[in-house]
Amino acid sequence: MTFRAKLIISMLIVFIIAFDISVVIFVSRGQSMVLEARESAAADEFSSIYRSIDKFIRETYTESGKRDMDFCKGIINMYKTLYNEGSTKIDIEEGIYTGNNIYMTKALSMPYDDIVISYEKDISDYYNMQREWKRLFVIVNFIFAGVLFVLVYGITSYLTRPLYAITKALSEFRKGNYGSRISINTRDEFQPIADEFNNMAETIGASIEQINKNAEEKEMLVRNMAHELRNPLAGIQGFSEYLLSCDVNDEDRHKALCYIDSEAKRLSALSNKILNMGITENTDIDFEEVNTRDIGEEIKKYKEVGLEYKIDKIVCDRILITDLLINLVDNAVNADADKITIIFDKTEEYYRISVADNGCGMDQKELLSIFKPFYRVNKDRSREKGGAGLGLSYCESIAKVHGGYMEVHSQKGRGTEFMIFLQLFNK
Amino acid sequence: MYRILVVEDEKSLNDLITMNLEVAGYSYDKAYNGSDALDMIYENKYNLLLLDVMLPVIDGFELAQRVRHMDIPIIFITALDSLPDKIKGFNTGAWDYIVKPFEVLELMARINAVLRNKYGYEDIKIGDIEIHTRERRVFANNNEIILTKTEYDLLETLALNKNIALSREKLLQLVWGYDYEGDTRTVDVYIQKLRKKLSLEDKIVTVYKYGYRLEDKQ
Repeated sequence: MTFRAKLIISMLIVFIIAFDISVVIFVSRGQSMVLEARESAAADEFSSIYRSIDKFIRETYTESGKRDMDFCKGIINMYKTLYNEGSTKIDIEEGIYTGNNIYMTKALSMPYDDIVISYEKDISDYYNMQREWKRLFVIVNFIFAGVLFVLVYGITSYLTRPLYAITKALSEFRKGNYGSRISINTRDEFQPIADEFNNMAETIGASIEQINKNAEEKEMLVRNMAHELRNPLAGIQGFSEYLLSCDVNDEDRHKALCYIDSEAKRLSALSNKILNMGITENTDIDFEEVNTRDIGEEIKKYKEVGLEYKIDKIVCDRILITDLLINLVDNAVNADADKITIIFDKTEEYYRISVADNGCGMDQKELLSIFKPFYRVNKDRSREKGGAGLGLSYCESIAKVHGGYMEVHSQKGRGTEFMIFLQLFNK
Repeated sequence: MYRILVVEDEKSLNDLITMNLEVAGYSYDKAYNGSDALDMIYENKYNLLLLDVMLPVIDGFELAQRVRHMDIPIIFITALDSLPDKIKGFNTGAWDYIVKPFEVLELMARINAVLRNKYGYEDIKIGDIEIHTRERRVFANNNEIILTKTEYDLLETLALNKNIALSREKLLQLVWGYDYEGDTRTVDVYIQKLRKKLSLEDKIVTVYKYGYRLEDKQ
């Protein structure tokens, strides 16, 4: 049974019982008052009739001095005839009364005290009225129930409307429409449910979006990884097969061997990089206080760069940060830069190392993807240099394990600036 | 002679495939990206396209889609081995789909199968010997030589992979089938028979500790 049906039935029962009880009390009280009034009027009437009969008989007895039964009965019969037409009946009592009317008796005074006068007042009209009331009561009850049902039906439909809205939104959500929201404005107990649902839907929707995005990125990563691993593998396998099974001349043999060599090296470099990424993501790093000039000198050994020191000390993992900077310098060199500047600095919350070059730069579209694993801005050239597109994602994971992040600004044809932000230690 | 276009951005793999095509006697062209390949397909007439999927400029699937109307058979050679990728590949009208890393012998066999499917059986000629592959008949200087079924299969396998050394195990697999449980001596016996029947003593070369190669120097 629906909540609404329960509501309708319980409301109808309560209202009808309350109505009936009050009507019954009201009517029965009214009836008993009517009956009392009728009874007192009848008593008055009987007493006046009795007094006139009694007086008449007593006066006659005083004049004659003897008891005359026939005369007495004649008087009573006269009264009997007199009242015969109306609702009142006067008679000499003749046994036990069994009717429904008002009935009173009284004995006459001496010496006729053996005669009892009876008085009967017909109140059948009262009983008729009572029957009429009952009939009316049943009719009114039905009409009232009908009207009440219509009213209650309307009220409950208004009150339960939020429930239907909530159900609809929930089922939409279950079907996968994560944008489904409950739009009610009732300001009652349903409002917090709707608000809570909407908040929950917001959170779940965002999570699901994130999950989908992650899955997509993961799939992309797997595709790229497959491509990067299988290409050199196919080369090595194919060329060795070629050498094994074909009668090749010296030139072709040399070519095949060179390819096997370079592909094997590529595979080994790639596996190192992938392992490196795993290490940075899962290892506790060695924080130590490092002199920025030491890092600078180390990079200078690798490649001539401009260096600027606005801070002397930096707390970081020296090997990882040096690796990161060398990676960025490598990128700059690959971007045809002839001037590379590294600046060690700090902001209020972070150490900031910036690596700026005057190389070929990147456009906005390229910038969006450069931190993604296996992404290469220039596919052909970078591969010739042995790149797999993992450098920047490696750099970013280094910055992340240092509690920081990386930013990049670039202009096509003008150059690129990478900024590495590392968590600041106030030692 | 069939002409094949190899579209593969990885120079090493492109060379690998074309070096093998060369050995097997196909003529070929190389392309390193999708758009060059497209131009070449419109300019020249190719009997077969070997396409990588992850290509610069235009990817392999799109390229296949664009040249579909030209009715050139396509074999994808790609690192993408997931079922959705394969289905996508076949939906573009590809005839075959090979996942890297691949065995060169398998690639050659598939190329052969596709060409045969598309252009019908082609008689193979090696020196004085003609193999009519449709009728499975062999002629030496126009005289028919009667071969048993196994002898014929062995000869055809060697001829289709001419100039490529086939190991005894591979020959067992290709000629006798995967479930054959004989030993590799069987291969030697049949090779001797073939050499005798067709006077191929100098053409079927024994590759030391490996297998055999049918040589056809032009």
